[in-house]
Amino acid sequence: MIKSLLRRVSDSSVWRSIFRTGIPDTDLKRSMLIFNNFFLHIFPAKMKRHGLRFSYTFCLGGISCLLFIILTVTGILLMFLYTPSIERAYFDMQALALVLNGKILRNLHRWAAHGMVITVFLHMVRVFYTRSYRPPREFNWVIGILLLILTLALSYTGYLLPWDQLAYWGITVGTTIMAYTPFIGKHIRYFLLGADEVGHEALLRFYVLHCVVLPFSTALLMAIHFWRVRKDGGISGPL
Amino acid sequence: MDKDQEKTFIKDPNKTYGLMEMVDGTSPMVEKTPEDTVETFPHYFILLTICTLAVTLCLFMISLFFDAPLEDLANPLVTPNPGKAPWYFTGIQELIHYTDKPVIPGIIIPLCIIIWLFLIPYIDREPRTQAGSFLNRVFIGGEKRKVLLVLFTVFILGALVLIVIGELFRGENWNFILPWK
Repeated sequence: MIKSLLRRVSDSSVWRSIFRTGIPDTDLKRSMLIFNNFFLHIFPAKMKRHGLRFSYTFCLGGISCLLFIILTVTGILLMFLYTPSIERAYFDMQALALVLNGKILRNLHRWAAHGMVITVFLHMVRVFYTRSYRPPREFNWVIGILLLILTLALSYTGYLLPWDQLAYWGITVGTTIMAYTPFIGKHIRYFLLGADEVGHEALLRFYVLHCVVLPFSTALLMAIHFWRVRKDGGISGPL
Repeated sequence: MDKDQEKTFIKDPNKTYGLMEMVDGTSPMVEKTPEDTVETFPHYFILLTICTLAVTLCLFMISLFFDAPLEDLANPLVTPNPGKAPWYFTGIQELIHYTDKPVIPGIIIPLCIIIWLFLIPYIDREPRTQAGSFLNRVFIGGEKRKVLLVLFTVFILGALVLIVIGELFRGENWNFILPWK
């Protein structure tokens, strides 16, 4: 009864106009389901069995990507409630606790950000120990390292935005270390902060970097990273 | 036929033809060794769904019970003691504490590590020239990459130990403290 109803719905012309493939009851239809769908077409129609083993990948790359998506969604919601100015930023943070679920929104963003630093790093460790960087995947490893650096940069620029003592002095300590660079250290610090000290200019710069420049760069590199995984023959084989 | 397939389909020198392979399956596979593959749908999507739900649920639980820190309003006149960088940089801070030349642990060492990480796949490959073979032996340690394994493991453990010490075991004036006291 339910089965025949399902079949009638999935065979109807409206359903077919949206999803094209009916109930995936044959291998051909299961493949069609994947490459006829915009969101699924980045996946291969077939996968190597060992690549599905949890103990090979620990799903670390996937979890990193999931956390990035969660961070994008919660980040956009937070942008509605936040003003990047030293007069408003901290009090917006306090007011956030009064908004419905505002606190949970910020918690989700914060903990997902810390989580992403950890999972991206562990993903690198996993790829190293499985020796998955060997040809033809050398350059994808390089992109991966760039993504690790971008993840750290994203986390670090976000660290300043609440404009509390933790943020202010965390960024002061970090940028002081950068200023130790020989010859150009002072200039790097000035370029990043827009002033000699952490202030309004720094907050605005970090906000734009955190919400626009770095997420877009990360998304672009992620797209190339995934695309190359497919082009290099899917997930790497066992040692 | 590539190398892999020649290994599977061993040619009999006395014959001009050979049985390739009889495979149970639902797709026509001609002139290809049998692959150990499964359909992405549903095999992979089950894993994907479970993993997504588990991570999202864990994150929600953590966010319900642990609040993100929010200290007092930023004040340039009140320096906290100790002033700490975000946790992933406290390892560098801890290293800087040991030296009076902060440029070495603060800039040079991290930069060297990044460059080294970039170079790993370009050194750990089948050496083609004599120089390549020399580099491979010194930096990788041959086919079993013993040198590289040791170096990388030292890097991870070192980073971990330094971060834990810098984040948890350092108090006022960067003196050693026990976090549970």
